[in-house]
Amino acid sequence: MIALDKVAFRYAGHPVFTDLSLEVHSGEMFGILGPNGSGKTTLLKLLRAVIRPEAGEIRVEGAPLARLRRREVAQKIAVVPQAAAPGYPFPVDEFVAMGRYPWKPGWFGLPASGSEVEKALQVTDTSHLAAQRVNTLSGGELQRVLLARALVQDASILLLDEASSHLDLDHRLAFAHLLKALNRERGVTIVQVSHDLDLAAALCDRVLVLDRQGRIAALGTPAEVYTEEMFHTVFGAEVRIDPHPDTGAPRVCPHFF
Amino acid sequence: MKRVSPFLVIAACVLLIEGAGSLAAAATFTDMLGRTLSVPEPPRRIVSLVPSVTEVLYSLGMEDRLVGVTTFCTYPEAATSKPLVGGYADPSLEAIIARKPDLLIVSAAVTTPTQVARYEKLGIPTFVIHATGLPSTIQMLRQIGEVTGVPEAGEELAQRLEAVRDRVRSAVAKRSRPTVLTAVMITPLTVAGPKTLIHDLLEAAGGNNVVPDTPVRYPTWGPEAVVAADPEVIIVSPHPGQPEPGALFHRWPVLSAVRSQRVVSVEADWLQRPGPRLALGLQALVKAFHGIDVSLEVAQ
Amino acid sequence: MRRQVSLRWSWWLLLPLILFLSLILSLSFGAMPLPLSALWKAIVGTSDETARTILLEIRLPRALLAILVGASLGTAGGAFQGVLRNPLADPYLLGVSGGAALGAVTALALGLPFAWALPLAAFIGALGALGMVYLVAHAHRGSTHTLILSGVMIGSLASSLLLFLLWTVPADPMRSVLFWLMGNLGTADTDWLPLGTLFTAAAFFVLWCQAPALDLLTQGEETAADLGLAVGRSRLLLLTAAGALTAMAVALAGLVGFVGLVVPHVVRLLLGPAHRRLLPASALLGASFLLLSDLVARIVLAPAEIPIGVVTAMIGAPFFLYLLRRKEGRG
Repeated sequence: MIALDKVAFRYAGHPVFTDLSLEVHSGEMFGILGPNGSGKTTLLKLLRAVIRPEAGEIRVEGAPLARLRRREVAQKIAVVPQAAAPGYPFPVDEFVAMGRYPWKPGWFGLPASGSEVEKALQVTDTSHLAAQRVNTLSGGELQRVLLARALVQDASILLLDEASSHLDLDHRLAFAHLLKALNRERGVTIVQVSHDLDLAAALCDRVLVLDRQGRIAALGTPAEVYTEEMFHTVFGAEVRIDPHPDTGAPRVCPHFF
Repeated sequence: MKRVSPFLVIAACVLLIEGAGSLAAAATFTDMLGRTLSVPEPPRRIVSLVPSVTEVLYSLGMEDRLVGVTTFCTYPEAATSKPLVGGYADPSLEAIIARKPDLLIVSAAVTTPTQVARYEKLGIPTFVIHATGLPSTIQMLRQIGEVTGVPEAGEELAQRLEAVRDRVRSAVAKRSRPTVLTAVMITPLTVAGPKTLIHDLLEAAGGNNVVPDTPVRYPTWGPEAVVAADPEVIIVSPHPGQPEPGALFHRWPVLSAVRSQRVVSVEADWLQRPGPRLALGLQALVKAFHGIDVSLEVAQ
Repeated sequence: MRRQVSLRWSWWLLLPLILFLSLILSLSFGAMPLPLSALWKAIVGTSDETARTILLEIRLPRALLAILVGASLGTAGGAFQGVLRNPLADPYLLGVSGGAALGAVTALALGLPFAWALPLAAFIGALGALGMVYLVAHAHRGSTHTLILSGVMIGSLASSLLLFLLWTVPADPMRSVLFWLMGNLGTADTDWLPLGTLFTAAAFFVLWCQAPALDLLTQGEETAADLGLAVGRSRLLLLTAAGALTAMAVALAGLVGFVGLVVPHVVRLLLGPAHRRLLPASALLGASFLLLSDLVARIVLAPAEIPIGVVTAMIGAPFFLYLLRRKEGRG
């Protein structure tokens, strides 16, 4: 689905990645973890084709990302950004319809968007907000609307950059449920950068841990990756790992004092 | 006295130079704003910041005492070779001081009270003229003559202009007065309103200005206003560098003045510079309005 | 939601109606009082020559010019506010005004004939400055902030060159250029109208087709790219079209302020920010606004005309504040 082959990238002269190879499978829920400065967001930018690797290659569904045109990238990959001030006060339905842009036919036409938008609003439970202006939404509502916009893109891959990390607990959980459902029911491949270790462990099929040198410190199922030693060497933090009482997914307990 | 002792010549020169300041008595004058100022009698180093005053000073035969002019003082042509002190609105203070004037003449139209105060503070006697119409122009001729120590010459200039004015007035007294529009700028079309020198000249030459009184002395008009006013005569008097006036008016054959070919160009200085050449302006206007030739000669 | 949609539809009847009424008003009033019936008589050709000349050769071309310039500035303003993601952007922000002024004064300094060289030089100057801003700001990849800052700087540079040229050119022709730059619908040569209309229509069509791209750009460069927009290319196209519209307006009528700033803003309050609606509505409202402003400028001190920029600001600013307050009040 997504394959990185010996990718190298420098930022302002400093190497972020020197030799990164990685594969994300189709239909996978994939988490990217790592301490600050490990290049999580840079990796996501490489996948979004906002920046280009200096060496190596990224392939999406077999096609080299560098050769795809913008709209072709957007037809394959949709991005859910962090909810930020959305600028001009678009009504929610029009805001979500922007996600149809990659499917705009020709120079003059407008993509048919009505049914897709309605569906996405239903899926994200935002139909009642359709006429409301985006600048009046709460953080949780806006995040769901941003997800809806990514959904109408009809892409097989969703990229999320800490999309829910600043939300309140209830919204964060609701958002996690939504992602899970999308992944299970629609087979959408989801790649998300996360700071929430426990939530990532509960959600993701596999997680990638990057160390401060941008190397792969660990890659595998949460149960394989979450070890006390890994948190010690990569994050420099002393923790205990125990299984979640309901799910059995690993849970991170920091030593406080 | 065929042979003059060199000693005497030198002594006379020394006396003249040494005594120049103390010998010349200072006299008090009132300028056109009612300010009083003390000027050496007569002033020997005059700086003029007003193009029309420069012109008047030449007419008074004062060119030898004129030691500084502005870049806009272009008439008579000899004036352009005088030392420059800058533009009329923004002269260089240093350049003015460097000319060591004992009389500075400025116009209330462009020189601000602050600037005048500055000149006074620097010990430069500053005479402010304020000529906005025909009567004040005639008064200005007299006052310039007085302050520069040649009141007779000033009086003569004033009387000559008055004589031409009176002759023109009596020539047109019994005639019907055409309606007139005067354009001082073509783009945008800028016309002379009632509170202007041009208006006085139009009236004296037997024309009726069609421009009504507005808060603006020189209002901007659209073509519709011209068509609505439909003046019998259009006087075009822009400064050089403006677009061809014909192009504007001849597009509107509906105008009486265009149909009867009474769009007349008059040199801008003749109508706009308050000075002796206004006589030429009056002559041109009365010719345009009534077809009368008026002599400028003054019977003694 | 339904209510809002129906309201939107009513705007598409109202805006053209407003424009039509503005046009009728604009033709009906002026320095010369003419009864409304004269308008009809002039159309059917039974009026006297003077009324006919005034209506068909003076008021009508001027009204058409106002429509053209107002529509151009409204559209260009809407486009610039979208591309630059800044509701305070106006069409002159990216060095266009400075460039136009510099072009006009250069033409004058070179002694080129006023009537045709001035609009042409202003047009070239405006687009030239915009192009320079684009290159300097690396706008193909750079941010909108860099673009705006570069615009301000190039504008200042143009102004300083302008001041230098002003110093070398004699004062009297200069005054004409300054007046012309202040914005004036009365001095424009109506011979430019057909060409201007064609040009404006073309630029407007390009912008209108690109309305979805404009919507995307309001979300920021990265999001726009994520949504499938080739940001650099799209921005170049949009800036060129909006810049050409502005340059055309400046060439025809000088720097008419306020229309390009306030009209798209008002439309956004009324119809929302989507550019498929915003651009045509801004064109319609901009045209009406300039028509009415010009009417006021012509009749307040008739027969004297007051500068159009004074009127656009005096009508536009309070109206805008009123709308803003009403909007705030409704929450």
